[in-house]
Amino acid sequence: MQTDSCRHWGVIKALTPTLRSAATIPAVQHGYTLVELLVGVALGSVVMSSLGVVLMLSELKVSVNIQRNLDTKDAVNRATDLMRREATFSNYIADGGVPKVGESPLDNCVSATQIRYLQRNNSSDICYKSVAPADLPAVYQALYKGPCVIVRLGPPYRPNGDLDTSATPIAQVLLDGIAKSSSFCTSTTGFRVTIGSPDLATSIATPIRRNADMTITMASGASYRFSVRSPSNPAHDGNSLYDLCTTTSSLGCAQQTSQVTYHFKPFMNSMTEVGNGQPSKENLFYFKYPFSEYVLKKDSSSGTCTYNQCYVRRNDAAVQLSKVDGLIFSDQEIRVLDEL
Amino acid sequence: MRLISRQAFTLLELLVTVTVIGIVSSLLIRSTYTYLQEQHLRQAANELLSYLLTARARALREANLSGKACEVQLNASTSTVQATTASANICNDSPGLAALDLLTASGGDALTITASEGSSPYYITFTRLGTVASSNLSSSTTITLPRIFYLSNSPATQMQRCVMVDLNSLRIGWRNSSDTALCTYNAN
Repeated sequence: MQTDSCRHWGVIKALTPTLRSAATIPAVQHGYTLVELLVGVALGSVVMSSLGVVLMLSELKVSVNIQRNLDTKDAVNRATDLMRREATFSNYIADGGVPKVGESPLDNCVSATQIRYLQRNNSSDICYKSVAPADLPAVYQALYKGPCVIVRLGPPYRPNGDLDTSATPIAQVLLDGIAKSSSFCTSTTGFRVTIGSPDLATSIATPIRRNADMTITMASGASYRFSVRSPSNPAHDGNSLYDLCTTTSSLGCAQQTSQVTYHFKPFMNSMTEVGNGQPSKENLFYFKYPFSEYVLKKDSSSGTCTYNQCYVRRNDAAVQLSKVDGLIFSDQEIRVLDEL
Repeated sequence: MRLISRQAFTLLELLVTVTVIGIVSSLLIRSTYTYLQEQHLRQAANELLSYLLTARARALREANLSGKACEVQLNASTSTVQATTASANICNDSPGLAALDLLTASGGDALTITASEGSSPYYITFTRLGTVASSNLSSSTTITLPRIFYLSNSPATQMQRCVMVDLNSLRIGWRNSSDTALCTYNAN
């Protein structure tokens, strides 16, 4: 049986020699020369290594950005922690006014600031303000990238972590890289503070405010929102105001802090004590023991504790109070906004 | 008979080639050496920063309960940083914060440490809030500003490393050693 190839050869043999030679497949093999190969390999290497470098740089950039973001978050967290903590040491929070362009940024809470924490001693107030690095002393301006920084104005810290209220207040940069509006740092673009409403039962001329919402916006666009609260019984470096009261007068203890808040520390040594809050003031009454140890009524017979009448009894001691904005026990505070 | 021509490099060509290779190699070796030196310096600065971060973390974690602070001292002459032996130093309580030899961190390169203010040994106290005690920071009449430590090696490389200790932050940066410009830090 003839195969296909044999049949084809028979056909070829039948052709003329010229045609036979033309029909034969030439033995020449086309390929790349060594030089072509080397050039190709070299070009390929250059392209591949370029790609590798681009990828590596891209990867490096990503990791640098991640690290930078982590650093930023850490810095913001540390700053907000300090602002929250300092709020718990303050007696109340005040709107520092509207900072204006050109105001001296380092005058220790004298001019307007974005927020102000008021202390027992006015000279140890703490406030925060957003300023441009250009407002800092010249030699240090390049330390901070800006475009704005948040500056803390107030008493410095002792090595043991207590506020040194006897020292001259100072200014310290708390956070760098704060966003800026088109013209100035003291706008609300980078550091916005919203002071909360006063939590009082009555309307007074200069009401106490204890809550604030703050938003810090970084130049990178990242925004961080947090709240602070100044408690009715401020910690004062670990000591409650009750402990700091040296006078047990029903007309208010010695640690009366301002013209708008009166702090009272009832004797609680008889059944007939009376404690009257002051009109047009925030009146806070302090008690030594936990809330659960006391009985609260409107008067000695019955009823519900209200702003105008509140009877507080513990064992065989009691006090009849009036104009009560807050009852501060060792474990909690109760705002008397309405009937309890 | 066919003459076979054998081509080869002349002596001059060889000399030129060797010279060029020599120059390129020396430049390469020098830049590699400089690079390694800068890496050592960067490593030393990173180690110092890491040590301070550890001290701060310990102050935050433990000082609040004990009423103590964490105080460390940086000794420029020995290039070491360690907890002080003060009794109210939480970082000196057992287990104390081990001393760090920055010379080891820098691969044995000689280090020169200076500060923006004050003289060695430099004290840094972290309070229970994690802040740096104001007495450790440089001050002017109106503002307390950071203390900056400058690290350079010997022979000096082009870059100096800076470690900034601020009220509430620790940062690392660099500056050109040939000028007295302030350091550049990564922005937040």
